[in-house]
Amino acid sequence: MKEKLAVISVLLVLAAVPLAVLYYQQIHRPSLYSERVITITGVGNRGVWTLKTANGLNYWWKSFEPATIHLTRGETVVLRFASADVFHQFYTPELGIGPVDVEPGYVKEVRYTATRAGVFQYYCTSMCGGCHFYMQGWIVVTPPGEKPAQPRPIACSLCLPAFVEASRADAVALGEYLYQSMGCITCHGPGGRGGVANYNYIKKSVPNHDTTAAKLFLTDGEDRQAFLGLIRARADLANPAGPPDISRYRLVMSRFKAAVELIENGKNAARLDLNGPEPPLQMPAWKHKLDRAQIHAIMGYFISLFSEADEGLTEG
Amino acid sequence: MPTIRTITRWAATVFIFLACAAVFMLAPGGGQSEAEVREFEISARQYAYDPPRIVVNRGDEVRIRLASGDVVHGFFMEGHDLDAFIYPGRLLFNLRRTSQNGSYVPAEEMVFRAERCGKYRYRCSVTCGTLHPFMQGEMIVEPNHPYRAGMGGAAGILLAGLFLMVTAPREPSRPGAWRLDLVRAVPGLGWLLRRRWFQFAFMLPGLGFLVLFAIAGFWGSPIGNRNIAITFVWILWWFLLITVLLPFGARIWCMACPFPFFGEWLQRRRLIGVRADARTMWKKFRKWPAKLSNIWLQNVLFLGLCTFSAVLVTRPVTTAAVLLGLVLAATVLAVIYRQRSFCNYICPVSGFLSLYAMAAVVEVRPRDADACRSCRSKACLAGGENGWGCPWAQNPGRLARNNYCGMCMECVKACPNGNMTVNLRPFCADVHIKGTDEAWKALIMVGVALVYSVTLLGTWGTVKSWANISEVGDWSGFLIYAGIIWCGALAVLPGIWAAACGLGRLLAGSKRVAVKTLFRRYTFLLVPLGLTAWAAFSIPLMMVNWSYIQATASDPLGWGWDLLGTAGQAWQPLWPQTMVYVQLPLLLIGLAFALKRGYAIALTLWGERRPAVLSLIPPAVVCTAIVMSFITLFAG
Repeated sequence: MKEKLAVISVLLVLAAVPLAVLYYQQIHRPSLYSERVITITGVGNRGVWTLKTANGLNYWWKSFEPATIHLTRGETVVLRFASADVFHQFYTPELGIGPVDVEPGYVKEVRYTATRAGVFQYYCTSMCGGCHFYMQGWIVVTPPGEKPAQPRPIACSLCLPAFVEASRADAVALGEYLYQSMGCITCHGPGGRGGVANYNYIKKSVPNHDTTAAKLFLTDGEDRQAFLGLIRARADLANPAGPPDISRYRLVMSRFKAAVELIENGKNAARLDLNGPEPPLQMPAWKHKLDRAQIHAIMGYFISLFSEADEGLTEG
Repeated sequence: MPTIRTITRWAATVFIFLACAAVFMLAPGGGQSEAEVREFEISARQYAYDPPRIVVNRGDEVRIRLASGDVVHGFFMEGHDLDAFIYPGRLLFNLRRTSQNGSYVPAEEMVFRAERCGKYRYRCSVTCGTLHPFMQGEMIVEPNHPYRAGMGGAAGILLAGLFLMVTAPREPSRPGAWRLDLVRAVPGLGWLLRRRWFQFAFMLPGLGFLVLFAIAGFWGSPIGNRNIAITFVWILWWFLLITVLLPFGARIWCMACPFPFFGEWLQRRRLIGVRADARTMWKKFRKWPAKLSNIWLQNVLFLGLCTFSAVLVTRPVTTAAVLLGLVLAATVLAVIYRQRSFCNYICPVSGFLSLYAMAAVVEVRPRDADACRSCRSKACLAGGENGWGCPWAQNPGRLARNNYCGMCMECVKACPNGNMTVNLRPFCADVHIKGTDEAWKALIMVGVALVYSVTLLGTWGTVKSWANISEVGDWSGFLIYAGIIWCGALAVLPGIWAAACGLGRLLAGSKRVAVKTLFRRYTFLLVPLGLTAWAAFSIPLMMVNWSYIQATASDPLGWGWDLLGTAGQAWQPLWPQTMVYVQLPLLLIGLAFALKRGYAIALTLWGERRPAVLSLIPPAVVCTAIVMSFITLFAG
C-alpha cells in the first residue's frame, strides 16, 4: 500500500512540475489579456529584436530572425519586451512607442493601438554590443483586408560570413575598417554618403562624411595628401615635427580638432518639431570605445573619401 | 575552580593575540595625510571596471566619473547608498540613492565623502551578460582597519596557539570527547528516523526541484541570474550546503539528494519498504573495482567541473545538462554496481562532503560499540527486517568517522537492538585522515577556494575572461587558468605542504614519524580551515545575489511571471558592508581549530610534546599564510 502510494507520488511529481509550468505559461497567462500579445526579445549578440523565445537550447548556438511586427489597423495589442542578455531600448518614434527600457530580467509591457497604416522603423536606442546599430526592423500596420507589405529585414552585416577584417596597418584602411565594424556605416551610409533618414531630425537625414575634406579646407589635392601622410605616420598633429607644407594649417587643425571632439563626445540630434519625439539616431560619444589614434584614422578615411569632381556640388 | 596557572596561561594567550593585532593595527602607512579631493574616471566593460581598485584616505572627498565601453552597466557603491546606471556612448550617467529607492537622475559625477575605513566594493547592478554577478571593483579607504585587524588576528592566533601548546598541561584532553545522544534527547526523533518513508519524504521534493531545474535550464531564460536553475543551485543550495548542512548536519544532503533516486529504485525495486531478500539480492550486482575504491575519481571530476565553473555557474543550460548527466551516471552505475557506488566513488560533490563531514557537529554511531562486536545479526551491515544494509558499504557498528556515512538512517532502522543513534558532538571531532586520496582532497579544496576567490570574487577582468571560455574563446588564457587550477591543486600546494612537513620533521629532530604520515595526518588542519574559508567565500555570494533568489522564486524561468510579487524588485545586496566582519572571524576560527586539532594529532603521532609542537610549526605557518591570503583577497 505504502509502496503504491510512493510510486504514485513520484509519478505525480514528475508529471506535475512540467504540467504546472505548461499550464501557467500556455493557459493561465494568455487568459490575463484580452488583446493579442506580442513578445519581442532583444538579443544583443545577434543584434536583433526577435519574435522567437531565446532560451538555453538556442541562445548559444542559433541565430534569430529579426522581427517584422505585423499589426492590423485599428487593432490594440500588448507588446511585451524582454531581453535575452543585456540592456536594450525599443523605440519607434513615428508611432510614439518608447523608448522602452528593456532591462534583462524585467519584462515591460506596452499597450498600443495601431491607428496609422504604413511601414515604420523600430530601433534599439541603447548601445548593446557590436551588432547594436543593426538592431532595427519594421512595424507594418495594414488596413483590414489588405495584403501586408513585406519589408526586407535588416540583418547585421558584421555577423555575415562575408564581413572580413580589412588590413589595419594603414591608418586610412584602419579608419575604413573601424567605420564599418563600429557601426558608423549604418547611420552615415556606405562610403560616408549619408542620406539615412532620421525621424524628426532637423536635417532630416544623418550627415554625410564624403565632404569632410572640404570642411577642413583640404580641397587642394597636395594639402590633402600631406595631411593624410601625417595621419598615416601617426604624427602628433597639434605639434608636428616640422612646419607641414599645408596651407592654412592652423585653420585646418582647429576644424580637425572640433571634428575629433564631436566624435569623442557625441552630439544630440536637434529636433525638427520641438514638440515631436526625439530623433532615434543620435551621435554617441565614442571616447570610451575608441582611442585618439583610432579616431584620427577614421578622420583620415573621411578625408580620403573626397572626390574633386563632387567639390562644386557639395560645397556650401 | 580554575587554578592560578590556568588563569595566567589564558591571560597571556589573550595578551599575545591582542598584541599581534595591535602591532598590525598601529603599523605605519596609509591614511595619515590630510583630507583632499580625489577624482577618478572609472570605465566599465564586460566584466570588470578599469581601474579595478581605487585607494583613498578617510575624510577624502571622492569624485567619480563613470563610463561604459560596451553595454549598459551599473555601479553600486557598497555602504555609500549610491547606485549608478551607465549608458555606453553617453557622457552623463544616471544616479540614484538606493535607500530612498528613488528614480535615477542624470549626473556627471558621483560625489561622496569616504567616512569609514575598510574595503567597499563597487558592483555591477544592471545585468550585463553572463558573468555579471561577479563583476566588481574595490575602493579601499585607508587606514584599512578591518584588514589590518584580520592579518594581526591571524598572526596572533598562530603565536597564541603555539604558546598554548608549549604551556599545555601534561595530560592532554582527548579531542572532542563529549557526545550527546540526540535520539534520547529529542523526543520523537527516534520514531521519525525509524519511519521507512523518512528518506523518501526528503528525496521527493528534491526530485521535483530537479525536474524544474532541467526545464528552466533548457527552456528558461539564458540569463543565469534570472533562471532558477542557477540561483537555486549555485547560490542558495551551495550556500546552505557549505554554511548550514555540512557543518551542522554532516552529509545530511546525501540523505536528501535526488541524484541516486532512480538508481536506488532500480536496485531495490522498492521506494519505501525493504525486500525480504535484502541480504542476498546484492549477489546479482558487481563489486566496485578495488583499484578505484578511493576518492581519486571524485577528486579528478571535481577539478574538471571546477575548471569550467565560470561557464557552469552562469549558463543555465550547462547546469541542467550537468545535473541530468549526474542523474544518468548514478542510474547507470546503480544498475551495474552494488549499492551507492556512484556516491562513494564518482560524485564530485560527495568528495568534499566526505572530507568536511569530519568537521560536522553530528554523527551516526553505535551507542555501545561492544554490543555491535558481539552482535550476530549484523543487520546494519547486511540488511534486516526494517532496514537495508548500509548503502554506503560501511560497517555501521564500527563507524568511527563521518566521511562515508550518507546519513540515510538505514542502520538506525535496521538495528534490531536499537543500538544505532545520532550524536551531537564538538566541531571537528573526526581527526584521522586515512588515505592520500583524502589528503589530496583537503589540499584541492583549499586550492580551489583560493582560485574561486580570485576569479569570482576578485576584480581582475583578465582572469574572468580566461575562465569564461565559451563566450570569450581565449584558449591560451583558458589553458593558463586550467593549468593554475590543476597544477596548483595537485602539485604546487601539496608540494608546499610536503616541504612544510619535511621541515617539521627536521625541526622535531626525530625520525620516529615518516614524512608521508605527517603529510597525510596534518592535512586535517586544512579541514576546519578549508570549511570556514569556503563559508567565507559563500556568504558574500548569498548576500550579493539574494535579490536574484527572490526574483527567480517568483519568476523561475525568466519568462516574466510574478508568482510571489518579488520579480520586479530592484537588485539590492544584503548589508554588503558587513560582509568582512563575518568573513574575518570565520577565517580566524578556522585557523584556531586547525591549530587545536593539529596539536592533538601531533601529540598522538609523536607521543611527547617537544617534537610534536616543533613538527607542527611549519604546517601551522603554511595554514596561517593561507588564511592571510584569504584575508588579503576578502579585506585587503
